[in-house]
Amino acid sequence: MRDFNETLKNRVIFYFAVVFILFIILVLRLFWIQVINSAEYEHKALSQRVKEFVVDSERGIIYDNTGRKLAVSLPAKTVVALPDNVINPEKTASKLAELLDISYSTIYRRITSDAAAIFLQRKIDNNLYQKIKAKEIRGITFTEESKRYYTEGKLASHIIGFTGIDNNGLNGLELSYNNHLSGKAGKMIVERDAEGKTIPNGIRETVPGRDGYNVHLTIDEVIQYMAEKELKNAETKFDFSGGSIIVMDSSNGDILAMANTPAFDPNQFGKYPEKNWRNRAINDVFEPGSTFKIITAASALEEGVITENDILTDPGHIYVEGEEISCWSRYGHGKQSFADVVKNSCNPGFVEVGLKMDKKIFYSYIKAFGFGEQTGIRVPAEARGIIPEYNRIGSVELATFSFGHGLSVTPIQLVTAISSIANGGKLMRPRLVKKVDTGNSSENIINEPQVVRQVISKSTADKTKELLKQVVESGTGTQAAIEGYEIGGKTGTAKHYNEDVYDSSFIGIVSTEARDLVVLTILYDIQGETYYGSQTAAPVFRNLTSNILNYLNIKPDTNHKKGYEINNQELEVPNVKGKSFLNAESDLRGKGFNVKLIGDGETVRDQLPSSGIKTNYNSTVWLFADEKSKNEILLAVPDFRGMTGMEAIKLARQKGLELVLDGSGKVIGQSVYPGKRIKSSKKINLKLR
Amino acid sequence: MYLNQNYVNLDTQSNFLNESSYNFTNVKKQAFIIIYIFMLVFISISILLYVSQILNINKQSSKLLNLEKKLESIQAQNERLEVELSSKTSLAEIEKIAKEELNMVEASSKETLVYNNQFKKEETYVADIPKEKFFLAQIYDKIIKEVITVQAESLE
Repeated sequence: MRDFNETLKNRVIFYFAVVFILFIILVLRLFWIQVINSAEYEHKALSQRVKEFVVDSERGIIYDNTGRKLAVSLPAKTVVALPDNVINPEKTASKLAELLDISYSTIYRRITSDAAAIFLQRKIDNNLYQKIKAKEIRGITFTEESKRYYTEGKLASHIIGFTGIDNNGLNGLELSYNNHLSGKAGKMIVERDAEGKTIPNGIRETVPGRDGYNVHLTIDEVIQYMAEKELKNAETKFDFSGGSIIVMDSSNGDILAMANTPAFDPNQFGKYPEKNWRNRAINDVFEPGSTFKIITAASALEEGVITENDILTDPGHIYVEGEEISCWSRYGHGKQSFADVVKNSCNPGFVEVGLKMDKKIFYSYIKAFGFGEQTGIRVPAEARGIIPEYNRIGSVELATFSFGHGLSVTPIQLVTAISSIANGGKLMRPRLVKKVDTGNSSENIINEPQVVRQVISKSTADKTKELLKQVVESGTGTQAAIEGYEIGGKTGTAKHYNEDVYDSSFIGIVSTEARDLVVLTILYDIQGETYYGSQTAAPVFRNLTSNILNYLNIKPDTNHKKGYEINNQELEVPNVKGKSFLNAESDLRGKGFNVKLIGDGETVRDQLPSSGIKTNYNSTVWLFADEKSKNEILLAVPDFRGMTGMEAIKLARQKGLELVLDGSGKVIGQSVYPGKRIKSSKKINLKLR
Repeated sequence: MYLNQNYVNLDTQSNFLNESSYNFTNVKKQAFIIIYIFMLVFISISILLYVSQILNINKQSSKLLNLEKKLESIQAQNERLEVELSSKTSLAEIEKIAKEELNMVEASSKETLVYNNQFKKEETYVADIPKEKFFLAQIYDKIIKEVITVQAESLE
């Protein structure tokens, strides 16, 4: 009995000792976890509960100048697959393939991958989200992301551009103003339970981000819509590859509309070919053709080499260094004033004017009007245009420049240049963005109107405008006229080399009391029988402009004064040879002539036209410091045929040419072919019968 | 034996308590007990209140979280509706509805009437009534003229 008791006692002691030792080990382990290594376990426990999220900043809104939202950001659902939770991959894939834009095999491959979570389709629309949610598919969940919406669809799509899946701007202002629009992402730390629900009163810390700044444009939604609609209407009437329209407020350089076709919907930009994304008004160049004659006219008037009353002749062509340059009118426009040259859009007339200017001067004006360099409108990939290098320009190139061929410009450059004529000579920087709203009015970024340079004087600008009004009233631009409004403009038709394809354009200045609007319409690659700017682009301009004037509530005024009237008075050129330049100039100007001085010197050695000749009021008299420089000047020979001897002599003297008449009656032949340019010292023999 | 001894001792102690010298200590002890009980109740109530407050705060926080979530979803819904409204009122949409649903057509020509309020008002006076209409007055004028006119050649 005693042995039994002892054995029992020993066993109890043994088990007690074992339990005690285990307990000690447990206590030590607890001490290890709770005291010595507590920080590590505390951290582990916390990291299980605490989740850190990146809080995406909201991309800024793009507004038009009436406050209408053109681009906004909204939360959108992204379909996420959790492969471990998917029960039946085949069934899941087939269900999703019916709804998503992804094939069955792709979905199946993704939902059976090793990843813990995988995106199936990002930023789906709300309807699709509701449909998928209603199916309650196991292993398919949703996360929220920010998606860009363009509320007006295709409207102004080329200006606004679009963003990629990561909300970064890829095109248009979305790209160039990405830094302002995108903002800065914030952070959020939240304590969550096992089910992923936020623990009330748990850890909740936020590192605030910054929402993107809102951008306010100068675009007027209604004018933009009208412009796009006119291009769409033109598509039904003419056969062309695309078109551009720009409406600019010349007083401050604001772009009120900039439309292009073909267009695209930025909400689904991937569904359109890349060529549709191009903002042709800024990214592409075209040969301006006759619209560039405005630049030639303004430069020549500013330089004083010509006045609107100077007499020019057009036999239908002109020869420059052996190259024949034809007028659009086969038989030419004959004897005409420069005002008529502009009105008739006469190529040889403009060539004569262009060549009267020194190459250096004309080139500097082309550059000063902003051609060959970016306007600084801050839209991606702005083209510079193509102006040949100065050293490569000869007389032929200079001649072709004068009527807008041999160089390429962007539509925005042309509008900006013509705006400088509309506003009194100031070249403005075109403005698409008026303000970047940072949310704090003192920190708002205001894009003030900027004057780049004064290119021509106000008087020259006004004179050029008056000449352009004549073009619309009774010249080549009558198709653009709107009754009751003062509109000046110029048509342009440029033929592609070796193809019967044309770029047709019309640029107009619409004068209103408050400001002058400049409207450019271009139709690219026109084919077919109707291709002239006056037949195609001018009617588009008229329709658009009449709608704009109606929208802006600018009333017609049928009593407006006729802008420009030719003074038919003839004056006799006085003899100023031997006089000082100063006296000669004041004498001539006092009598009603324009004066152009050639060469350095104090005394007038020669003059053109010579003294005693009766010529138009306010025509140009050239004064030379030496006789040699007069003899070097090349003068275009008119077509004297059909004129009487007296008429021929008068015209020749007005131009500074000398004739030798043979016979009497009317001129039936001339020794120098019409259109040839000869030195003033060379005499022309005329045969009369 | 040993047990009996203990009982004896207890009895002795009991007797000792019944003594009058120990009465004051007894009251003190009772007071302490009451204070202890009171303290216990107070602490228990405090703990209960504290726990209930914690629960209440948690409940309110949870409510707040739900409300925040609701607000977020309403705001998102609001934004979505605003965008939808913008899309529905876009000029393209208006034109589409006007043409397709309301069968409207674009005006082929439009006439602009301008109200001009600067026209000249022609004033008429009674005295300006043409004389020829008053035959008698003309005769009267002639007679008067004849009477008052003196000819230079006349001897009179």
